[in-house]
Amino acid sequence: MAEKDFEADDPLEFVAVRYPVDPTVDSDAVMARCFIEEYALFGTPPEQIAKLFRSPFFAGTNAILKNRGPEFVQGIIDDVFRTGSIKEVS
Amino acid sequence: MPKVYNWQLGREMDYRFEGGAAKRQFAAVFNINRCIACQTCSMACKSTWTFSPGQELMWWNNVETKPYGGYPNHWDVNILELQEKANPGGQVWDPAKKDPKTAPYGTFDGKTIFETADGVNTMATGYIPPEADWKAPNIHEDTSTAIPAGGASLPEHAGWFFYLQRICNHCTYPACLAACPRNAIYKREEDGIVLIDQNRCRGYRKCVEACPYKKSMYRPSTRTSEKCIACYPRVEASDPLTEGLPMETRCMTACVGKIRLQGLVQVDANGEWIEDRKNPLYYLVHVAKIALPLYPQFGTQPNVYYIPPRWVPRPYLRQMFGPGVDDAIAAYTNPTRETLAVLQLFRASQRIVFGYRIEQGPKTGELNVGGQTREIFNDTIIGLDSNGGEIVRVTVDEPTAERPGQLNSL
Repeated sequence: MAEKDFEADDPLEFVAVRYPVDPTVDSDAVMARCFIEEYALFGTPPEQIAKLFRSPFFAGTNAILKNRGPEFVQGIIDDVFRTGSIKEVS
Repeated sequence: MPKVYNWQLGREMDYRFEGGAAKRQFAAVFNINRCIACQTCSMACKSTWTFSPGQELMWWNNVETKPYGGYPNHWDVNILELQEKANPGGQVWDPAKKDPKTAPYGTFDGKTIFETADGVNTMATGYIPPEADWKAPNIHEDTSTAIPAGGASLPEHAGWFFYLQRICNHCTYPACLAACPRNAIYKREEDGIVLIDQNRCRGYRKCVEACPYKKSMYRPSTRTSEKCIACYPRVEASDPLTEGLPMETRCMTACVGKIRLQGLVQVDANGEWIEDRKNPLYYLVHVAKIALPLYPQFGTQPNVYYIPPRWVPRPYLRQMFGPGVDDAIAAYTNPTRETLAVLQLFRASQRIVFGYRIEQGPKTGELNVGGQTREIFNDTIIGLDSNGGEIVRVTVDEPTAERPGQLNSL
């Protein structure tokens, strides 16, 4: 299928219906914060979390960085870690 | 019909049989927040149990993308619609009528699938999905397809989505069992696992029709129905690998994302969980209350619990997991020290964890989580087997290893 073009008269073609989302919700910010807090809570340091967004191999986080830019992502990381930083445990 | 107590609904309800006699109950918690839909669980199950002729369309374990996806297609929308038609506008909860033990989520004022059925011709409201609905478990979901010349323009993932992991819920009040005219389906006393006796089954498909989760499936080559057997040889500890200790199922132990924890809990005659404070499942469901049943309003008292995805609009989640969603997400978003440790037990061992203890570790930092400042400690949690012996030891700080760039083949 991947090598064939879409055809509008294909009866099994996906017809999308968007589930309503509150227009005041910034979905990118919500998802980015979820990722960052989830990893931070089990001890991932901020620089390693930033890598998840920079690496194209992590499609979800990388898409947020591409959509909104690195400053947007770094701002949320800084906010989560603003009261201190995770220290490496030897 | 006899009356049974359903603690997930906070009230009595009609059911074909008296309350269950199970002393222990198979149960699991799935953390939706961490699932990446790699389908390793689906393949672990398929390669173990459903690889034979006639089972081609069977996925006892599947992972579907919500809100669009479903296996069979639209199973939950279909049953919700049937229930709504049977009781228009009445399928509502009263979250205020709450009791910590007997009605932890409030009281369901609507009708279950047993109560909307006539109790004569049908024991539970349901439907038999057409064959086409079983054929494409992930149609139009996260599958790779062609990219149109102008680039993708559909808005399907712009807002939100999440993965829903599904197996048989080994319900306390199974609809499949109630519906079977041959009484071929039974629930085991020793672990609450629901099985279909293949000798008694004649393939009438009443179980396929009645199961609201659509986890009973017809096999044309044997003309019988089949379903998830909860890998009972593993749960029974008959696998030589663990030397007589109960093991988690194949789908649980194969989980790459460490989102699954399965075990056995002690239950009374109503299927209510007997307090077992140091059982991790008891802790997640009844103490931390971060794990909730899937569509509890159907009334089968399912035994797979879900930590709801924190980024998804709440009305959708309340319909799917009941009114406990807001408290569950609040507790998961800013987890206690104990919760953080218990979450590390997920898929830490193939053996079933019956208990745990926590050794306190050093403070490793402070975070601003969910708008609150909180301290983080690198505690160690020790999982215990059915004899109280140590089977696993993990820390809250997850050890990580980074693969050198030159080893990446992509």
